[in-house]
Amino acid sequence: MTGKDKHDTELENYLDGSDGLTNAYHQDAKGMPPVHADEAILAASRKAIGTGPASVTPIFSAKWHVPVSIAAVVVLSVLVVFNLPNESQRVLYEPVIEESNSNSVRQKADSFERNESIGQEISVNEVEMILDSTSLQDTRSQRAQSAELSELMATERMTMDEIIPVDEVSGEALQQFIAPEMDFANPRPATSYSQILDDPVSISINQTANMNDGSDVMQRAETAQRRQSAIECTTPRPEECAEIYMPVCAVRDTGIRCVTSPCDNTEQVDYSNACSACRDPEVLSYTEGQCLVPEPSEP
Amino acid sequence: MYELSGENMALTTKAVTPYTLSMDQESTDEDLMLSYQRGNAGAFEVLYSRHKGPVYRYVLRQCRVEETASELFQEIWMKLIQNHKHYEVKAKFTTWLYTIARHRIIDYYRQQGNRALEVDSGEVDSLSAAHTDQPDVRAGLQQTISQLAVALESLPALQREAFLLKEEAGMGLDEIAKLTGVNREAVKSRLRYAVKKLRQVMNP
Repeated sequence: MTGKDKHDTELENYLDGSDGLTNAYHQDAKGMPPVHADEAILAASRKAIGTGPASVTPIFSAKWHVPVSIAAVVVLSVLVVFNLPNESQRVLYEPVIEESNSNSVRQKADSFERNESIGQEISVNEVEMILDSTSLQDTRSQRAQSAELSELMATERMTMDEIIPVDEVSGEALQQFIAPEMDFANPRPATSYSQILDDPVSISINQTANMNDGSDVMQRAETAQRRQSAIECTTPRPEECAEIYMPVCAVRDTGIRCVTSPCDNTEQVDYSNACSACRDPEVLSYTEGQCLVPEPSEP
Repeated sequence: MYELSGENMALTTKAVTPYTLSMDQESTDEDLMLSYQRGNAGAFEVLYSRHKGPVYRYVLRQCRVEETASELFQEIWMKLIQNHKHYEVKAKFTTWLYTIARHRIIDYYRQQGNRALEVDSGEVDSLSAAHTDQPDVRAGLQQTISQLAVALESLPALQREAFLLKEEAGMGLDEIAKLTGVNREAVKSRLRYAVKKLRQVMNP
């Protein structure tokens, strides 16, 4: 066997694994990469395909977010659909509320006028402030307010027309008479009157009206009405009058002059007729009919 | 560049199915790599667990320093990961993997001023011996306390490379020839000298 043949035989034995060199090598070949190299390579492999760390992958790759998202969309859609009727009702109802508010403003003005005519210390500005400080929340308070005011008017046995004869005066006169600063053509915003009944000042207005006797209110209303139809005495004054009984209610100057603060310097006096009233030089004007005598208030 | 034999082609054309751990263990390297291309991180983990030891030893036996071997080892796999989308089943996965490893080792040798894998075998002996005399190389050798390992370290680089590709990568003569760019006879010659020297160590 030549040297070359010997080498070929050794190579063939090596290649087929029969010489033991391969086994000897692998018994000694125990080297393995360090752990940090393993971790770095595996992390890079996950990052390269966008899956992130293996410990996090099960959480973020889970399929739970799909049904949860669908469920959330369904729930939100249902909520929106069920809330749509409420929204439309509110939109449709607002004009009604506004219209109701116009009536409410008028009723409040009536109440204010009654209190003003009775002589309570409530000014127009205060009422305006009350109206400004209130806001409309729902129609129930409006209805309750209307019902209370209706009950109040029924208790006083009078209507608004009885209090203020609108057919006898113009709208402007009515406005100036009731509340010069109020604008009935342009009432307050619909949302500014809803809590009037909840407002303690507003309640005091109603309570004030209820505490006064109804006939007294009627008397004051009649006075207001007559104030519009008063006839002034003309000069020269009559000296002789016929004894005709056509009673009139005259406004007579009492001669009292207040210095420190304003006060009423007139009084109402019954005369048998207009001539007799104007014969009195202190009488300023008169209205037809007897003066209203206040009835004693009930305890 | 690399053409598959009929047997290898039959392996790579196997139907790709969703991978479970057991199926991954039975899958070919090529299937695992294709699965990784489609986003299966588990396929890469199986692939890595199969080849990390041989590749590491292939690198360690040639650079001879564990720390350097670890760095080169990581760079090889990072290179593979970066180019995983370009992988095509035109050759065995191991051929692709060890081509990357070999190129990285050549770059390392160039950085060290050593062209051991690029020069003729006649020059390799002296270069390899000089490299072995370096202090860090001796420290690396002390960690592989084995006469066979020492003998392997003393082999010329090209002979050692051929031996390692045979033992670690499990390549045949033709595959080694394709990978190293030489003909079959040159590979046989390198292996023949390597085996002769190693046997002298085992049977003095």
